[in-house]
Amino acid sequence: MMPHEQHELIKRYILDIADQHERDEVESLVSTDPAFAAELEFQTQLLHTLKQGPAMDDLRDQLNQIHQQQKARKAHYSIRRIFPMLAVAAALALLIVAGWWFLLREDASVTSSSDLYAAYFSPPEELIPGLTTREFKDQDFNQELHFWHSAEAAYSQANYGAVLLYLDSLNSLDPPVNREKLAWYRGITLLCNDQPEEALAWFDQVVNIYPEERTWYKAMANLRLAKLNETRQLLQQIVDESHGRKKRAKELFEILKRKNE
Amino acid sequence: MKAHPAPYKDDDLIRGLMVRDNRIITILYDTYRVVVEDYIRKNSGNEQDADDVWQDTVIVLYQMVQEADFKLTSTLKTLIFGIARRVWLRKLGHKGLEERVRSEQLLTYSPEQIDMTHAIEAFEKRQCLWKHFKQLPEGCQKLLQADLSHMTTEEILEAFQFGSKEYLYKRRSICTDKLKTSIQSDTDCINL
Repeated sequence: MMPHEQHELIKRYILDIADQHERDEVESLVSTDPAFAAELEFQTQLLHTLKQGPAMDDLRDQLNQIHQQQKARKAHYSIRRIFPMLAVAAALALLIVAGWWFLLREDASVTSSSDLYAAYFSPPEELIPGLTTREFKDQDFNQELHFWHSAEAAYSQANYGAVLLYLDSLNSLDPPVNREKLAWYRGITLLCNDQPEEALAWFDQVVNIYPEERTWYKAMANLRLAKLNETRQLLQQIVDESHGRKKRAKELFEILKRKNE
Repeated sequence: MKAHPAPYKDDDLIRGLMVRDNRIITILYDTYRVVVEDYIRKNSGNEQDADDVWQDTVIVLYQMVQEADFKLTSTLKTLIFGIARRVWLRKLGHKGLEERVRSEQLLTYSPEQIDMTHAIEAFEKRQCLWKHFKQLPEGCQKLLQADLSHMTTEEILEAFQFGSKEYLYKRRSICTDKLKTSIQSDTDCINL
């Protein structure tokens, strides 16, 4: 059989238009001729492919479109579903950042001892505690009392130079007033006048009075001078002694400790 | 596994697939694709593999349901998952990685499973044939299409304006050989 005759026979067979004689011939050749059998298989598959190929392409396009569409829909719903969680997460992140910024801001302040001094130092409300409760009367003139009251009045007006002059006057009185008290008031006034070194010199002369306040203001004077080791030592002393300013002292101590680290 | 919406029974889905009803194919996707992807991912595959296997699975199923003697003997879910597993097994097999598939259930052979395997083999052959057929020159494509249609030799001679039957046979032989050579040079198709 010529190749084209064989091809025509196969074609008629797979198109299902072969008569019974042709069908018998094909089935006989399939069992005896492997090349014929292979060609029959090839042409059969090619026929199916040509019938189904375009549909396969269309179906594949359709599947791709559905895939993209469902993927986009899923992504859309996922975003909608997680949006409240995202909002909460964003709020938390914002809080963390704000907190971090706040801490950093606090930390940044500890880099400057003068800033710390400004934050922790406050002048005593009264230079001479209890003095204002005593009424001053001209007719009961008493020079010492006059100077004390004048010093206190000048202090209340933050006129520290005048305070120091009145304290000098008190120092020159005879009989002399309590030297330790004068030294203490000078120290406070000088510290208020931003003269920490001189203040410390006067504080050193105070031994028996105002122990708690004395340690605190000495710490402040050292802080103003950026003598941090001395400041820490004094603060530690306050903390150890269950001092009235213990809480503030501990807080400042911790800040200075971090600064040191 | 998520069930498809109640109004759609397996038969409805099959009828919808036969006509490539977009709504039905979307339901199939929503219902079964995730299971196929899960299986592929657990067996050495990735998302792209899952996409490929899902597409091939639906096309194999589409071809199976086109057959006049197709009859669903299990649930559609079982059939789809069975096809998907075999498709993936064969893909791995082509890569020499068949042993990576964990499920040994693949080795059991029921008549339906044998049908599935034949359907997949036929699909793979047709995929190759179609891929290489589309690469033939347009003249060859048209000639082979006409040859395997119900057109008579005389009608083809006239349509293509060939002078003789011998010339038609020669052109047909050249085109067929081109197609066979092209397939044989493709490593993905050579073993089919």
